[in-house]
Amino acid sequence: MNYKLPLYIQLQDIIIKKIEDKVYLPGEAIPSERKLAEIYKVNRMTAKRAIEHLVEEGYLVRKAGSGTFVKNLDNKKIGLDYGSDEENTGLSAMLQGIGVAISNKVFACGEIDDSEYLAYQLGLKIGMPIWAVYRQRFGDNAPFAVEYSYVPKHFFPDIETFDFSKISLYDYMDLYHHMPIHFSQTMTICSAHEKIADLLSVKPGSAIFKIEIHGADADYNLVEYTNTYMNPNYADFTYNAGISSDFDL
Amino acid sequence: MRLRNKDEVLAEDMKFSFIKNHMKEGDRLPTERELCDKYEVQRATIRSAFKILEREGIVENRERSGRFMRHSRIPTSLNQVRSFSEIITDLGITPINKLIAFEVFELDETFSAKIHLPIGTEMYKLTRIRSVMHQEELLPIIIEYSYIPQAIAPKILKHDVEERSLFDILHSEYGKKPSLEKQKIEIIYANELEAKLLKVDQMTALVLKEGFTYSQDHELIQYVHVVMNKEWVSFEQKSPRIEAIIKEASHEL
Repeated sequence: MNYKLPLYIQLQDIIIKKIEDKVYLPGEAIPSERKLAEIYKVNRMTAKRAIEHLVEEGYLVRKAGSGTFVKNLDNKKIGLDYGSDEENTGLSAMLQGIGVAISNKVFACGEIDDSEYLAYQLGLKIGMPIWAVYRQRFGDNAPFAVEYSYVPKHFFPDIETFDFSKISLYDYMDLYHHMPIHFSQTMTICSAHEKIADLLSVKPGSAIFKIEIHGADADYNLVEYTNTYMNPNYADFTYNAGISSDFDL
Repeated sequence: MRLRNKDEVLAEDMKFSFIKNHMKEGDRLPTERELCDKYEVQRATIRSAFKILEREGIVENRERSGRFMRHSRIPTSLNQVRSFSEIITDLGITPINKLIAFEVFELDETFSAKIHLPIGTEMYKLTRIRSVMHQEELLPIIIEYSYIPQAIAPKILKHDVEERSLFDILHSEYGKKPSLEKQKIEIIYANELEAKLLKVDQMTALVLKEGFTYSQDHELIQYVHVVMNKEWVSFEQKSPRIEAIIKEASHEL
């Protein structure tokens, strides 16, 4: 234990870590105050205080007569980790990591071959077919994102036979060895247009996250152009930035 | 269900024409009438397409003047540690910074728990407002609260914290090179003070960025709490190679 921080805070950190490491699972009971005091050799008031703070912060819930449990993540914000260029940063991959049940609904899909804008974004010649997949993403049944994805059809000849409500688009792309692994992304905050507001269950005009993603496969073929709109009530973004080799102050 | 409505397709075509014609911020856009003729659609479709582009923050409607390309956003890199001053200068924007408050205090229990330094650690708090010139007016766009442990940068006010980047000062004057930043971005709603300082209505959506910056020796050298006007900022994790491929391919279009 770090001797400089107050004991009840150190104990909080230990419990939080156990929750993050899935030692204590959502819905599961944590040891009683008395047990915690015994295990960590602190007095019972300290254990009580730590638990009270964690209940306040939303990590734990008290059920009268049953004890204290790890909270199920219905209202918890999802911290999205935009990992390094090398990692698969598909939304499913990130969110499943923290125990939220993800489900998808494809609300539209089809072929587009007359959009100069989309041809430009995918590095294609106009006329080359593009397959569009529009999905609503739900976390524990609440819509948290709406994704408009576009992929070059020539890499994925049978894509129209797949239902991406049931399977992951990236998994399918991987079958053809064209899964995106390199990404270029920009996030802005914009206002929700009527249609998007409806799909995200937010008020029209309210502030939402918009992420524009270009994905390239291992050979740097452009394979994905996606616009994702996210409900800020269910997402905040956490990321680590490192120093670049030619960073010069 | 039909993939796209007429107005969505039109908004997309217009975005392409902006790219093709190298439209930049402040450029005036054609009138609704001109666009009706060009795209052979009804006026209502044009208006609806414009609304999409306005909501996305690409176009702005200046009443009685017409529609214009919106000003560019100042990007924060998600994968590189770069000082704000460096970014903004790269864009050719002259930033105007003002130090509006400087405080010296000791960490209390709550703050100590938040930034993981011992209770009682002496800290500097610098409050700065960053503004840009926009349409000939000085517009404040960012309120930045920087917390630096005194031990890291003693007598920091000896240096020009308005004109110079804090990262630059920490590195060149104190030998602390910013090496890793952990950042969190959220949407918040302006309180009275923020609304006043940023010249927006109360409860306007703003961007909150909280960041912990560490030196190469894993020391915390800065904790920052930044409130930003959402219209002026973006967050990027760009791949230069992908950007180059897109540009290259577009020559064929």
